[in-house]
Amino acid sequence: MPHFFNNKRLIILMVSIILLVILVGFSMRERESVPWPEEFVRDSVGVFQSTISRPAHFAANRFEAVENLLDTYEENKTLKQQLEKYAATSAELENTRQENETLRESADTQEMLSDYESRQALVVYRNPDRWTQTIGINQGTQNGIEQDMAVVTNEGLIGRVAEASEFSSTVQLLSDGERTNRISASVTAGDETVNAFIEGWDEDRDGLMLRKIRSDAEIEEGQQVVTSGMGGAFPSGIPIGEVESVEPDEYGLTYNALIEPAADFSDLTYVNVLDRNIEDLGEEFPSLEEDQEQEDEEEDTVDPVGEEGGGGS
Amino acid sequence: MTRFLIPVSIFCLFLIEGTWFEILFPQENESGWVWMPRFALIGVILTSIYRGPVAGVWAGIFVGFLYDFTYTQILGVYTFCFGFIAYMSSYSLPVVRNSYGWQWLIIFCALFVFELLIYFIYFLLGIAELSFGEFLVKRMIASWLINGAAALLLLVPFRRIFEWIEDQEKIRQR
Repeated sequence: MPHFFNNKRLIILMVSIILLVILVGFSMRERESVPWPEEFVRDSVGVFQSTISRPAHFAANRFEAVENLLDTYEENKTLKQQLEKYAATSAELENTRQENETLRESADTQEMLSDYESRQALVVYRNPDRWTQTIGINQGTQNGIEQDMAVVTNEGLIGRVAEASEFSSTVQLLSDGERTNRISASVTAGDETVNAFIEGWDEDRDGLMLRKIRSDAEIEEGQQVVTSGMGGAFPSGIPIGEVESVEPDEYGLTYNALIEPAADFSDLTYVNVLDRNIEDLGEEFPSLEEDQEQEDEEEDTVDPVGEEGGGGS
Repeated sequence: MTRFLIPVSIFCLFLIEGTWFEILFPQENESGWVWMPRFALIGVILTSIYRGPVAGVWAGIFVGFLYDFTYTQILGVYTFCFGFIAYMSSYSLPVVRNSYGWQWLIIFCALFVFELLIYFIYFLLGIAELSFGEFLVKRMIASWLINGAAALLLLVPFRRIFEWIEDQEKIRQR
């Protein structure tokens, strides 16, 4: 670094620091849309990424295939045991589905909170510095992807679309620590459903934090957590994970639970983006969106124990 | 042709970082160690050693720009850090150019400053929640190990490229 404290260079350094602060300030706020230069760069890089990611996925799958072959015997044993249960469960599911359909017809509702369309996308990159947990997929607004849609794998929810460009989009994973990454979830405890919020990721214990659980709810280890469908763009009934431990929160009014995510975030190849057609929903249930807005405003100040009336069913 | 060779090779390193590396070596969160590939940074540092600070800073800004736009949703952080590191590591003395040892040492130090800068900026912004001690062990040492090894592999081919470019320039001047 020759002549570092030369006047001209010092000025350039100062100007670039100021530019840095301005740019960071500009991009830190919640952005509704992505500015076009950013979109353009991301799309054109996305073309290259999508081309070179295919052979990489292919090679990775070959490695995995060999590993899988070695575990086949053990896996086969456990699968055989589960198969018997499967027959019973699938018969029950078919029954329930038919019953659901007839009930829906008689109730005259077409749209449900659990309705969605699913689009498959290939993971083309992942943020190599793990400060923010984001992945890129090769589908964009041209394919009908929009901001805030839910992204899932076969195992369960993995995140939401953070930014959508024309031909590629960025997905923010659940393991990203950001508190704004808030998902309304529900736990089936006994015969009642308990609503709460997934807020943030616990770095030390590697799990999602389920917050604002009513203090009289009977949450136990091993219970399934699914999306409740109350929070905007996410359909209901997508598995999130399993309750690992429960503890009272810092004020003692509500409970927090640590959730072990159902999906594996480390090795992703194909993901599905769920489109809920929220416009139609808004027309059908205008009160739903209003409720949501109110909830967002009140969220920080409201007494969470009293929330079951407003945010719940 | 010669003009585009450096940007293209740095761009390839940038793509490998985010795509091949992450797909072929998926990382599990349990161990807590984070292996951050910084291959493009190695390319940028070598550019500023062989081609001087101006070319190095432009290369750094180019990669940082791509980095900010594609991987992070916060603009400016990587553009600034890449440019800054490119300038700080522009020791274009003949001693440095002729010895792989010096170049490796500069890359090693630059990695330290780079990771530290990114950590501090992200810490101030509230994105990084790691304590400093944990950062040193889980990220810095991991980064040194993986990028130090990558630098050993990249030093020779990059030197070939730069020597070839210099030859071409001499031929053109005649």
